[in-house]
Amino acid sequence: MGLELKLRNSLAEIVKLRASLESFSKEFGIDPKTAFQIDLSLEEVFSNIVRHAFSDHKPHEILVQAEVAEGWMTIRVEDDGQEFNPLLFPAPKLNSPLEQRQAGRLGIHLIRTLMDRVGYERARGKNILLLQKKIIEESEQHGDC
Amino acid sequence: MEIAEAKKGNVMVVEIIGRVDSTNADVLQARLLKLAETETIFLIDCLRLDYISSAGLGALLHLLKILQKKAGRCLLSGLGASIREVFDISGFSKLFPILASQEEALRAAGMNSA
Repeated sequence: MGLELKLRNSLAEIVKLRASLESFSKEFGIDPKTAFQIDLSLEEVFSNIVRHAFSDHKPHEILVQAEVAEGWMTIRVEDDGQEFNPLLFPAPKLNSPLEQRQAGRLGIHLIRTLMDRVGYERARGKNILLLQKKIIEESEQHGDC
Repeated sequence: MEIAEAKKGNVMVVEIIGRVDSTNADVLQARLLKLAETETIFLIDCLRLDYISSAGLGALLHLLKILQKKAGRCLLSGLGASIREVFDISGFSKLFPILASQEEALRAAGMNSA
């Protein structure tokens, strides 16, 4: 069974996003470390969309879907904002001096590092981001074999 | 998120409790910058910090930039494994001295225990 959330383009929706993700992770017995990494990556994705995807100050819907299958958690995030492929975003310079550091560049770097696979597609005027994380399901951890 | 402050010697100890994310990082930043108007040595105790995203890192970076201008310092202590990973990936482990406990960090900060 999957998770489907329709969220508004407002940072306040992160509370709802986190709560749903938390119960979803619990349901599938995802370990706390992996759940943290998924939680963080999804916040970074969502807050980037809310902050940068729209310039019309109108309400938009952001669709978040998640499922677990064959040891992978797959999250799909869809928005109708400006075209943005995070895979083309340059990595931050992590050794630059303090005065040149910018936290704004770290979100996408965190997503790309914490997730095992990140895919992007622009289709029918929408950004579709796929995040995948290898997980160990509880049934495997406590299996008979 | 809760923020608890205590002055120990010449060190401003700020404990951040709970979650720092895009919904509340501005509150943390405003508090830290207010404290930085009068304080120069900070210890951020993360022992009860459950979660931090890039928005929270931004608040700490802002504090550090202000402290650098007045030869101040900011140390961190009590980072759990997941929080530590966020700091490592972001390159922040090189910006901030990270100590295991508040006590160690206070010693490292050269706290005047008198």
